[in-house]
Amino acid sequence: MTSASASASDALVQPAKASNQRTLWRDAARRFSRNRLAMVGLVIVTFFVFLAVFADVLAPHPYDKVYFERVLLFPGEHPAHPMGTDEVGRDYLSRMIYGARTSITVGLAVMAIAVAIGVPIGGIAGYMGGFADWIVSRLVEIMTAFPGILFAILIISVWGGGITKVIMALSITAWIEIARLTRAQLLSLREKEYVESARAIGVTQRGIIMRHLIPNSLTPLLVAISFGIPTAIFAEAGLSFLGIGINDPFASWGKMVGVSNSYVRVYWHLALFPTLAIALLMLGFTFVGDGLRDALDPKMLE
Amino acid sequence: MTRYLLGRLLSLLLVLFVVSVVTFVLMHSVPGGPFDESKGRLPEAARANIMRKYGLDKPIYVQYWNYMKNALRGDFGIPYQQPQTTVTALIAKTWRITLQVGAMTVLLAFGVGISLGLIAAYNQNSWIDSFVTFFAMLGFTVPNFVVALWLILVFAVRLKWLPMGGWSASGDCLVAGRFFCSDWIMPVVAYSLIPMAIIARYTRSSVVDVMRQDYARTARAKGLHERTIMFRHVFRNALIPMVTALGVIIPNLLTGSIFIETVFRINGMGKYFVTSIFNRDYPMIMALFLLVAVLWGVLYLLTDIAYTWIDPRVRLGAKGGNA
Amino acid sequence: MKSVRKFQLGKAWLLPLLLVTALAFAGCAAPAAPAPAPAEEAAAPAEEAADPYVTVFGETLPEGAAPYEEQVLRMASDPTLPSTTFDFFAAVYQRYCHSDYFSNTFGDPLVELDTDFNLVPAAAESWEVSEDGRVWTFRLRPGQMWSDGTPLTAADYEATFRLGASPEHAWDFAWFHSFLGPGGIKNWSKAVAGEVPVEEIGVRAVDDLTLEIETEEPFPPLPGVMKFSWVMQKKALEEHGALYNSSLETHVSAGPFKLVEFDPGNRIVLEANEQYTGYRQPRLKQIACTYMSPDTYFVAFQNGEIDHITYEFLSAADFDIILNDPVLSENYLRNFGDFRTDYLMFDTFTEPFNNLDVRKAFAYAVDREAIVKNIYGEIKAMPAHSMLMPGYPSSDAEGLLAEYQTFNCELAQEHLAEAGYPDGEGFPRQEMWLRGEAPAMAAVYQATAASIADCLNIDIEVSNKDYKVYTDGMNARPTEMKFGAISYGMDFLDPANLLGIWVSTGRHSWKNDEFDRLVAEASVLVGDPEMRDQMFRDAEKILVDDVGGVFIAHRWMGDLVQPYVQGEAIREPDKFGITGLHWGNDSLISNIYIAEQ
Repeated sequence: MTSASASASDALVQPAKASNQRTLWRDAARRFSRNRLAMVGLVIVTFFVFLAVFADVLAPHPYDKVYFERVLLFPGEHPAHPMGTDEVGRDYLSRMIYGARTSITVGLAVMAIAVAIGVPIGGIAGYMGGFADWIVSRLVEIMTAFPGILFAILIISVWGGGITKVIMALSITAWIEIARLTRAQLLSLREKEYVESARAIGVTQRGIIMRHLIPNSLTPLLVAISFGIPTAIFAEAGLSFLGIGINDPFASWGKMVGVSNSYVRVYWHLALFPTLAIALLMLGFTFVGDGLRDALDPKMLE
Repeated sequence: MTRYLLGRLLSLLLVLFVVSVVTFVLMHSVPGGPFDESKGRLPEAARANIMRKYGLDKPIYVQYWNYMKNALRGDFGIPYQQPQTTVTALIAKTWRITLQVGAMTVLLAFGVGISLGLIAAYNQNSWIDSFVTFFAMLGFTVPNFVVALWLILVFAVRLKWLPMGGWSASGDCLVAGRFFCSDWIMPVVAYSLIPMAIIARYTRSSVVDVMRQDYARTARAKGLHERTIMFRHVFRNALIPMVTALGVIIPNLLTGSIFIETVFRINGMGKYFVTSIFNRDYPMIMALFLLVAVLWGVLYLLTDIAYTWIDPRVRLGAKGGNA
Repeated sequence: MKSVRKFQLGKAWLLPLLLVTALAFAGCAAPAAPAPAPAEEAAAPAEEAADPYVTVFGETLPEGAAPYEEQVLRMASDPTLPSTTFDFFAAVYQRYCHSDYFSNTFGDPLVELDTDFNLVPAAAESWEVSEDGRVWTFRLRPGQMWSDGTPLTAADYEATFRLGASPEHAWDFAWFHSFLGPGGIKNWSKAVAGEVPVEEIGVRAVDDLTLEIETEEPFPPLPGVMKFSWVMQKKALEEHGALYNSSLETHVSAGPFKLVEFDPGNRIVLEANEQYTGYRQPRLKQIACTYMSPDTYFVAFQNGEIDHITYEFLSAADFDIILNDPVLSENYLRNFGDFRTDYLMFDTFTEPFNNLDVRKAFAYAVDREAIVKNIYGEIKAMPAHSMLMPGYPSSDAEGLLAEYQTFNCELAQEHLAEAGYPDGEGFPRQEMWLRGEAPAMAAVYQATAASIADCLNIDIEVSNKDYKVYTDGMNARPTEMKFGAISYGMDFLDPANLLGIWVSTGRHSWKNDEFDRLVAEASVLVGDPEMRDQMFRDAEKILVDDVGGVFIAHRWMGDLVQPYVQGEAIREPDKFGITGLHWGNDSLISNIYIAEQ
């Protein structure tokens, strides 16, 4: 969980230069499309997003339909179930497809909340400095002192599971990272010459924030978000793996992996497919994130 | 420097205080307690007796005060899960196993990670480099419980070469005439992939960076042997970002992974994070959370100090203390 | 593929080698153990040493048994489970090795049940009840001893019960002796509440061999409840407190075994207590309990490292392997266990489950046969149509209640339409709570939910709650749980127990005055067993007809044992045709022996 954010932050040591915004974005898009890995990642992510959006059409069976006479079938054992069935007799392929929906929903929702909370708070801290900054810095320190996913476990023990609760629990930790980034970003930007000159020629506070600071901190934020999504997906999978995440009958890859743990000696397919899916989706997002970072930060590429 | 350290220590204490309060309040707000009411609500009297026995009948701030008073004296109480021992003894027992896993993981991750990073940097832009980069990416993104299950599927279920799980004490394996327990392999490999990837990546990028710096060029211009440059100049300078990586990796390894310990059924400390919450083992939860907070805090501090030691150019306190 | 085979071969020849090593170790250890014995029996050295097939009690082992030195039963325990004591009265939920057969061997109960569930004498040789049905007098078998040489007396039983009632001790099972309803040991609840001193509870030692137990109301099943009266020593309790057995120094036993090796988390070994003069002298020399992760039990069993696993530690994959292996399946001994029933419960005081038609719709929508056949597996359960498992006293073995709770989807839909939700329309989405279930049982309840949702065209979400969050929500009044799945196994073998939990003061949010009255009256009814039986049957009919719960399945329990674990008591079928470890029969442990392999 820490790994993705670590790689995000090492990209952010250098804030982006604000010369000509439009060219920058166009250049970035061009660089991104030339990056083979990034494109592969984009294809993977698009594929899973496609699955998530059209799950109802794509899945051959409803995700909660139980076939009592077809419990724990292996892949290929029955023509209607190419990936076999699970321990309750549900079609595994359909559950895999709906699992994509759960993962993507959690990933996007958590990051959306994190940005909605983290950017204003981090922005205030970075721009105002002083006491607000002190508070936010301490908050960041405190949250890093909590052992990763354990904080989410504790919170979920209080609230109970279910997708909304999982999203909320994960957002509590996720916004901190965004706030930290925004703060660091603004801290360095507000000392920049063009901001100072804008201030000198009498541009309003609001104008400075809207016209200079926000656009300039967007780049690293975008990168952070692209790494934050897989982190959230991983965390959901982890919670569900421990049996305290998504409720049944909804499908979650993490839960499927967790359950498979006690069947794996015989029913290998229960473990294989969801682990592959998690790995692929995480890889896809990471490729995209790396590609974005390289594309948006030309200095990294010499 | 001293002033800076003092400031950091103070802020560490503040963090510990907040962590202890938040954990204490959170865990007490989880429903249930150290009693079993599965057969129905206990009669008030029986319930009250149990609460009194564990000191849970007092207001929460009194409980917190009592806990902290004892904790500062080194008395972390009795774990509800295993009341015949103390929290300290139980942590010592389980931590030993976690540390064994962690130590072996560090060895493997560093050995392989640094080598891979160096090889990649040395053969920059070759297929070896791409391979290492890709491998690092893989190790980086794939959750370790996923890797763990793959290993189980291949080596335990399919090939039947290795046991499904467990963690033998070294003595157990020695009886069988071996110095190495086969059940060590999969957990350590699965656990080491992420740190290995981080280390390989950091090593590679910082070595590449440093090789481009002026002093490396100068050394090369002076006609020094490439390998000498590599080790005398480049590697030493490349250590700096690696220290940062260490600061992230080590505390994770020290406290153990819930996932690795769950998948491989290792009775280490990581597993107790979860069982303690499930059992409402308040003293154990507190001790574990505090332990992690202390470890993180101290290691961050050590990381910063290590910077000054490796790179004299870094002066602590000069850059606004945001670790 | 090639290398695989090679490796397996390598392992195969290694096994005998390991065995040889193990034997060599056993051989080393063996001479050390009997060493102190000759000193005591210096008078008659020759004849003792001769027969290796004689137990420490002088009994000759059955034909085909391994030598006495090898009479060791090896069990496994989970190191992460809470455990502090061997004694029931110290902490029921924290006993070492989590097996009644292991932990209740340091003291005998007053009575026990034989394999056919008849009440039989144990430490007490006889008992009688006063005319008003309130005072029971138990006479102890004379000549029973503690391992420290002092006699076992009624005062020890008295002290044991006083410990259980003591507010300072805060026993986790203290509610039990109020018997969940009328009756109960006199002054027990008051003593627990600290209102009267523990000396005033209705358990009194009249003399060394006479124990008197007085109840608040007449309570016919009282002797059966005394199956849980594993005794502790008064002297040790006074000197060392309730956990005196959790230490080799302060340990003392009046039971068939004594503690010889104590390293919790690693290994605990019990050995036959040669001072024991009670009713269940063991053939086994030792019981060893080794700690390992539950998921390695089965592998350890297959490697021959342990001799016994209870069914709850066998995964679905393990059962697959067992059922497909003739030797393993023959040695999986299925039994009643604690007559556990899995069922669904409702909050019947609020919408929508306050409507009987809704509850009936649910009761008819569960495809019990399919769930048992496909999800549990028939070795693990039988379909349930009521609370009491056939075989339990007053149970509906004839199947008369099946018509009230059985799978009939059409009928279910009719009832739901009757309730105002035709074809599930407008029926609010439900959340079914599970009590921290492991994957195998979670699958059962998911299938149950799917069966209902499918038949009634409604939405049911299944939420596997943290165990304590579940019980807390269930027990809250008004309850926080609208709909949940749960199981209950008996505490004592009388319908007053398994029906008593359904009275309106219990854990369920269901109230039926007629049911309450029947159970209350029948529980304390003395002198007319037939009428009592009928009253309980009537009560159960109300329970299923008024759908207090939806009964899914009765669980078969079982133990996987090694083929060489023998003994008539576990291998010969009882009157129900069942073999294995029978709940309630404490003398089983003394009947088991290890056969020559």
